[in-house]
Amino acid sequence: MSDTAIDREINRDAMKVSDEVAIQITDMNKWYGTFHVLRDINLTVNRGERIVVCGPSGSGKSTLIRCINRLEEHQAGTIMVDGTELSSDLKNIDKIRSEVGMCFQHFNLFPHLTILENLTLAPIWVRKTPKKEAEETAMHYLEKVKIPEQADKYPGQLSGGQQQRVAIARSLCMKPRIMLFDEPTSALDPEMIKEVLDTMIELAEEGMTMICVTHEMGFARQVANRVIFMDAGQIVEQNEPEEFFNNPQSERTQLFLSQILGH
Amino acid sequence: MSDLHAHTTSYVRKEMLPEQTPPITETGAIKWVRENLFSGWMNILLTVISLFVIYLALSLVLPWAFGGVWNAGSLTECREVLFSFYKGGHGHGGACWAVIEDRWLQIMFGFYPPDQYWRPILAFVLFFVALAPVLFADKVPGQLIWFSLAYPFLAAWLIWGGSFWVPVFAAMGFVLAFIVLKFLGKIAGPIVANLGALVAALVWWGAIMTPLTDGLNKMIGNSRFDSTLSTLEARTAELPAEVAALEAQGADKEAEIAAAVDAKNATLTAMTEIRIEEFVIANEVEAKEDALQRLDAAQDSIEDLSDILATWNGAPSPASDSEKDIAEAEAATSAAETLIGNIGSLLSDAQSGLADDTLEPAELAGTFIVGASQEDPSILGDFDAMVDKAALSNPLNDLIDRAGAVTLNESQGDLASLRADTETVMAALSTNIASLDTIMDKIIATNADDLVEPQAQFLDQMADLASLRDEATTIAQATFRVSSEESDTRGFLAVLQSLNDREAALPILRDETAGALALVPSDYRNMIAVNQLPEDASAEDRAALSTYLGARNIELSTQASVRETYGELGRVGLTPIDSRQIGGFLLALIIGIAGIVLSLPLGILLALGRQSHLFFLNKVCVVFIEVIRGVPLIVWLFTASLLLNYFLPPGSNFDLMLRVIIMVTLFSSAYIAEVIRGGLAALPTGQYEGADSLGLGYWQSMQLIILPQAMKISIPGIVNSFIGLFKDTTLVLFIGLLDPVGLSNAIRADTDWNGVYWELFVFIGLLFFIFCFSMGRYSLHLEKKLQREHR
Repeated sequence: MSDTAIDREINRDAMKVSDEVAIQITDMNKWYGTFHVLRDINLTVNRGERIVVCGPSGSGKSTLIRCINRLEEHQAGTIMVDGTELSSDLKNIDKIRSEVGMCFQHFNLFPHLTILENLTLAPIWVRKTPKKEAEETAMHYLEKVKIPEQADKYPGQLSGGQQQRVAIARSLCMKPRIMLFDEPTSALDPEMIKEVLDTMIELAEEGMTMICVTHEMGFARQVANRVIFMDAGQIVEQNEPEEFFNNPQSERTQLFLSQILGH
Repeated sequence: MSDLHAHTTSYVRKEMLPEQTPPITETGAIKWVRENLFSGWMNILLTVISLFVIYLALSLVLPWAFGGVWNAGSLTECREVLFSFYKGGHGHGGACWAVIEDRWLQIMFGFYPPDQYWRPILAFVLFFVALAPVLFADKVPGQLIWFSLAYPFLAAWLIWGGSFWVPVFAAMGFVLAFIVLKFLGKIAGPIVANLGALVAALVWWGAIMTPLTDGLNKMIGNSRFDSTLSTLEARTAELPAEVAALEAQGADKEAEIAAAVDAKNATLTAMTEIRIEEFVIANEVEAKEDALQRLDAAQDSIEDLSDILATWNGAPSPASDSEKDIAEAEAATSAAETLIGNIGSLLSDAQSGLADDTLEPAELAGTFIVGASQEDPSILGDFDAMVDKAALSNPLNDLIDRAGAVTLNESQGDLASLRADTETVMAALSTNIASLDTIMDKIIATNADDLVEPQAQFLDQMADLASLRDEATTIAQATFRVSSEESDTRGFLAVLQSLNDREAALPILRDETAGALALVPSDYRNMIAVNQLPEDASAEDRAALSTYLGARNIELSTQASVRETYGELGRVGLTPIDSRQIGGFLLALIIGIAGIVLSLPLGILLALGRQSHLFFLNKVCVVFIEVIRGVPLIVWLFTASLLLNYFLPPGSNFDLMLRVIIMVTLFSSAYIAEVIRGGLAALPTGQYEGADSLGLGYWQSMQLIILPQAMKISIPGIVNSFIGLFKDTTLVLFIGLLDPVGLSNAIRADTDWNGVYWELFVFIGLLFFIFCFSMGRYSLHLEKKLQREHR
């Protein structure tokens, strides 16, 4: 694993963190049947913050961020997103989901729609944006992720990296205030990982609030405000990237880092 | 390649090789044949066998189908035509397509009135227009979908007729429901909105539509009353003359047909006379083949006898005193004796057959002196070459004597010589028959020229006869139409004349009912029959209730009759057609198309319900699907036709066809639901999550993301179910609806066509095949079109 995700200098000063709270998770617990997946999670994310969540597989990282837009239901504690509490009220859920963008490991693009249709679908049907306006926005974001020429193709005709960038653009079309990334690069080969990370870094430089579950430690080092290490459904350690990587406190973190950075 | 050295590992190509054409055996048709037909010995064998089987099948079917008869009025006439062209045989000669020519309209439309055929045809043509926005969405303007939505009402009106506002009002129920849904959806939750829409639609159909229709009928009826009355009176005066004129025309036509039949029969007789020599020879051959068969049987019996005697080494005798041996010996003895008797009788039958039923060759030749032998003198020579009768039958006398003398102690040698001699006689007889066959061929050859003219004449006469019969049918239909118009007009006139009286009587009847009701004790006022009264009710109460019920019956029936009269008088639209008149392929199409169109949305809802996390909804769907699927369709159809009546309010007349459509729809939707469930299950969960993460609601994500993909996967299964449903419509035959197969039975019940099977079934099969094959082809086309995304 390389130490840096991108060769150029990143302007960290531009990535301001405001005092406004975007996500507040308090004493959150979740079980799959009797299996306790998330235990007493407490996490506050401020607007503009970029958080990287890492940890061994099965530690509950994905479950944690999937709880934030209620793809998974939590059984105890509260999750507040943009001041709205996540409950089983369907209207709240749909509202939060349209404010929170999400990118998946396997992209989850809609294979029966063209790239442009993938991008305009939610704005047209959820936001009730006029079709023309939605298409203009979609083209804007496609240019931003550097694949405007693919607009009329179908997802199956694109490479993995391109598909993930389309997925990011699809989320951005909803003008989300928070972006969640669930291992966005795990299904890609190294060349493609770089193009996706580029896109994510640009997004970070524009001040987007981001929570990324990823094993890209270079990205964490360069971009994150905070790195959270999870194990066995709990937050084991969280710290600024420099401290986290150079001076990990918990034994579990040290072991994990030595394994992941050791070669 | 010369610069490639096998020993060096490092190698650099200096010049690129030019492109070459492939060998001739590896391109085009030759390659295809080599690869697909003759690629190995097994493949070659299969190719040859397949070609042979195809040849066999076609050589049977094609002559039958293309050598068929199209102009004939009955199966007997078909056979006459086939016989006159030497195609008689045992029904293998040629098809009797005349039955299709005669009855195809009936197979298509059942007993739908012929002058109204344009209505179902128009409905059928419009069906494709309505289908276009659904099937070829990218090639037609989007506004056409409104026509598709209106089409069911339009089609029902075209097929069943009646006033045009009935389908309009029925459609307005849906429009109302939609408006209520939109309105309530803004101010209340989705459940309230859906319920509100349902209630609004039911109230509209149940409580508003009928008075509205009645009011319109009455308004228009009243304005038309006088003019209709005078028109009816005028028509009643004219119609008897029209009927009489048509009947006279019909009688003339019948006479013409009878004359044409006589002419045709005369030609047939003339042809028989030309061919009379063939029949003489055919008789002769028949008698001789008969004798030959007997001799063959006798020969077999001798063989059996000699087998028995060989086993027992002479006459069967018990080997010991044991009962078993004695019984065996006795059984063998009696079997042998029976055989001896058989041999004798078979031989003497053959002998007497030859002696009595055949003619001397000279005699035969004598009958030919004037006929065929003049054209082909060699025939007489053939007769001369034949042996005399005596030469065939005399050796048999000797054989009969010898057979009579056969006993159980006969030696094997004697039996063998008896057999050999019998076979000698048989060989002689066979030769004789072969000579006769040769003569027969020669006669047919000489007759062929003579027959050409009468055959052509016969065909012409049959064609004339067919067109005469068509004209007669047209006249008969017109006569039927006019005479039923006559009786209808008379009936309606009488009804109209009494309309005012009946209407005036209504208030009086109402008062009477109310008065009678007042006399009934209040406990009993809701009863609808006297036998509902408790045992201890008094005689006065019984009488009062019975009076009230009688009065109410009269009031209701008068009310209904007035309503009906206004319905008829105020109708602006098409002649109403009763469901019982609809039959044949039209019936199959109506049931099939209605079932297909209705079962798809229902099946989708059921599939979604079965996937739902809502416990009761889920279980209801599961139980519905399993129960419907687990019971044969025919049981559901019987339920529709018989049992459903018990659950409906008494006196309600719920159309049988509608009931069948409902049952077929439910049945098919259970299958569709399972097919679509398979498609839903095949989608990765990522698709649901992708849709969810964008904030799409349940119905939005179903409509935009999940169903389009699930349906694409399920297309082959869905179309398969549809094809099955369409063919299953023939099952309605068992509940008394006249589907094409049911009609084929009805056609066979006509003495003219008694015995026609293949032609009708081939025609019906072809009709179904065309539709099912088109559906299958369309599904393939759709699959290819949607194949753009690869997983």
